[in-house]
Amino acid sequence: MSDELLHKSVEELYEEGPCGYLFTRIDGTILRVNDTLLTWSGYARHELVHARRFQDLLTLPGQIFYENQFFPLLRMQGSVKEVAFDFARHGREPLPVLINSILRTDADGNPTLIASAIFDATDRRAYELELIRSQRSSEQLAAVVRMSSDAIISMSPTGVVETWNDGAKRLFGYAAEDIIGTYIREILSPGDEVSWPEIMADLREGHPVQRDMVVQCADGHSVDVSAGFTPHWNAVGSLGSVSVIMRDIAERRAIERLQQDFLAVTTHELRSPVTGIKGNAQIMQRRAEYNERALEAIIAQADKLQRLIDDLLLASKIQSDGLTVVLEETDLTAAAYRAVTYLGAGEREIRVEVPEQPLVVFADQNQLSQMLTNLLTNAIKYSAEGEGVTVRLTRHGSEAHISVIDHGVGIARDDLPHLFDRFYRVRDTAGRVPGLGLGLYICRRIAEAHGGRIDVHSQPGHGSTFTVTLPMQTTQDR
Amino acid sequence: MRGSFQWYGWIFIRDARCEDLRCKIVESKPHETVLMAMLKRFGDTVSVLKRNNVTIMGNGETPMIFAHGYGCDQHMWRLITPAFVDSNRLILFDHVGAGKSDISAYDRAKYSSLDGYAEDLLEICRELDLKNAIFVGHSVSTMIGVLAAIKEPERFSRLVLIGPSPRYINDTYYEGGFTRKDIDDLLDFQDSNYLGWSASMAPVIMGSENEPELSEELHNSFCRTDPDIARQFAAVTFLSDNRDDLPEVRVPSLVIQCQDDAIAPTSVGEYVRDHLLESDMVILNATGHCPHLSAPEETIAAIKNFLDA
Repeated sequence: MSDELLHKSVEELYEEGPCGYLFTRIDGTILRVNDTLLTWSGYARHELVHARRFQDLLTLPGQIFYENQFFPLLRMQGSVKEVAFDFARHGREPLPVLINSILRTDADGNPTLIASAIFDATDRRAYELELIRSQRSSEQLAAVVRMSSDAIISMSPTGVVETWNDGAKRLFGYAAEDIIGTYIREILSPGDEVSWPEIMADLREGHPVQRDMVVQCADGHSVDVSAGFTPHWNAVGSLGSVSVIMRDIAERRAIERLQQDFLAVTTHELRSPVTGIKGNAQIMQRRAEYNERALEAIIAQADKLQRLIDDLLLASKIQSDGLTVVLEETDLTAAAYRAVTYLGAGEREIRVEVPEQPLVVFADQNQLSQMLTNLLTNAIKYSAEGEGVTVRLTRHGSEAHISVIDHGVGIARDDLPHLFDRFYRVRDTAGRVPGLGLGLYICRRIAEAHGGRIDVHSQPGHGSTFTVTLPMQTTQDR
Repeated sequence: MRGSFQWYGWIFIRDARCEDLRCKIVESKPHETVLMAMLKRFGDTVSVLKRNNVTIMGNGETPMIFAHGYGCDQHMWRLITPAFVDSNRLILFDHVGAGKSDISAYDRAKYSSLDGYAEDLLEICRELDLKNAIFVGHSVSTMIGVLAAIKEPERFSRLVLIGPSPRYINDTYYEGGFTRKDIDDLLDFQDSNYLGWSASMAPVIMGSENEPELSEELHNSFCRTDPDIARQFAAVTFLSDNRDDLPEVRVPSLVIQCQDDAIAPTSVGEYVRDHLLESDMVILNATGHCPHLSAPEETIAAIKNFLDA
């Protein structure tokens, strides 16, 4: 092998090897490039050597990095290893590269030359981005778990707690360091319908499990939860871990209880007028004669039954479809008188106070009358014998106020905030809790559907005033 | 008899990085004993100097304080300081997050604007009781110096601003040199160098036979910045806008401008000179953004000219 062959091989390796070689002055002016680097840059040699600086081949962020960090580092340390840059290639996508540079000095120690070896880092950059991306997404996931108000934990296939998020700590009171490593069974009980071995068997077969369970909290009290178990497989194909999400279902349980109560109450309330109707009819049948009082009682009870059923239907409709209103011009004074007449004067005095000018609103006639009837019925129900009830209509600017005033027992302060809630029932003077708890809820929904509202002022022992506010729309507003 | 006396004590501090003793007069408040006051003062002193890795050297009278720019630490002044060490008292420091500063002192809220850094600079000045000091700042530290000089002008007699830019992003009728997208790309670029960062920013020295004094002390700390802090500092720097602060400066200033500086172009240097009340500008032959590293003699000459004038 001759020297010439060796020399030529070195030359070729230098020019065409997998690495770019670059020599520049201190200010970055390019002095020499090898063929590889030339190809990467997309320029011709004369466009680079003595024509451009190394910085000019970088993307803008790279230039800033070069000035602020790369060059100072090189100048102070004499060398730089593996700095990432993007080569801004002429007419092509930037090429990610890694640069190693050495600062060469002259005999007096003055820096004269920068020699650099440049590597294509496309693959490495792709891995780095992937790493950053997966780091970020796992950080995001960790944040979701951390911030979740649900308890999110994980356990081993044998039921040993492995992770425990803040939500779990908040719900159950155990700190992560105290509960990790213990068996979940010690605090989580499945209830009567299913056993732990059955749950684990399901999970091992790959079925997620959803069950209502009870958790024993750190302070001793129990919490009802809905627990969702999801199995995860490891690389070998067996059960690796199980993630469990537990949600406090106290609210759900409360609603279930409320619904059961409601069903019980409704049945009772509906039954009692039916009993009255039947009883009075039987009296007439037995005596085989026309009985005025019995018939009046039957009609009154039938009316009451009708109102109850109307309320139920309306509440149910509000629940499912929302309240649709058919608006037409309505004179509130006329509507008030209609409602009062419908209820019948009977034993009560119902006074109606109206303003000089008619109060006209756009309202759904049916719903308006239902609302007024409800309010008046309540006023009568909660007043003492012989006490009067007042309906007062007033105008305040662009609003019409309908006030129903009674001087009865009034409403306790504790009840006031919940008065217009669905199913909320208040004890009457005799300590009974009559009604379905729907009347005021319906009034509120009707008022709101008309763009208005309903308020109450009450003093226990002195009476209550319910005020419905409705907007008075001029025809131009429609 | 009058109420409280005021007691005086002295603390002598010997700092490992300082080359001499410094004497501090301590005045105690009426409710504390002298000893308590001395101990408290000692604690405060040590903590500011430690926080910013303050180095003090030089035999002269007039204090000269150097503030490094974004990216590196006080070592970047190495080639300049020898020219002033005999005639001045030199104070060098690292911004929090850079060099050997105390990273635990980093507070995202405080350092979310340059005012936080300006406050640190002033704390160092107060600590060392600097008055009529010459301030030499590079890049973003030029604006940090500007903010400090507006707040406590009696601390500074001159400002030397190397490669200043009051705002990097272009605005209507203002050419900062960068678009918002450029800056966003820069911040992303920061992230991508993060993984390569720890490998490259603490490199093993590859045979610099001519500069053996670049010892252990340098090779792991120079340009080493915590990546998260670096990212926030980059954002704060490149998104800053201090144009309105320039006219408030009451200290004579010098703008040192390089040719072909991609980060602080000549038009920006001119803008700074035009909006500072009392200022001069010198354009060096050097190119790039760090003339104190690439052309130290020219830089020293420019500074000396300014100080002698």
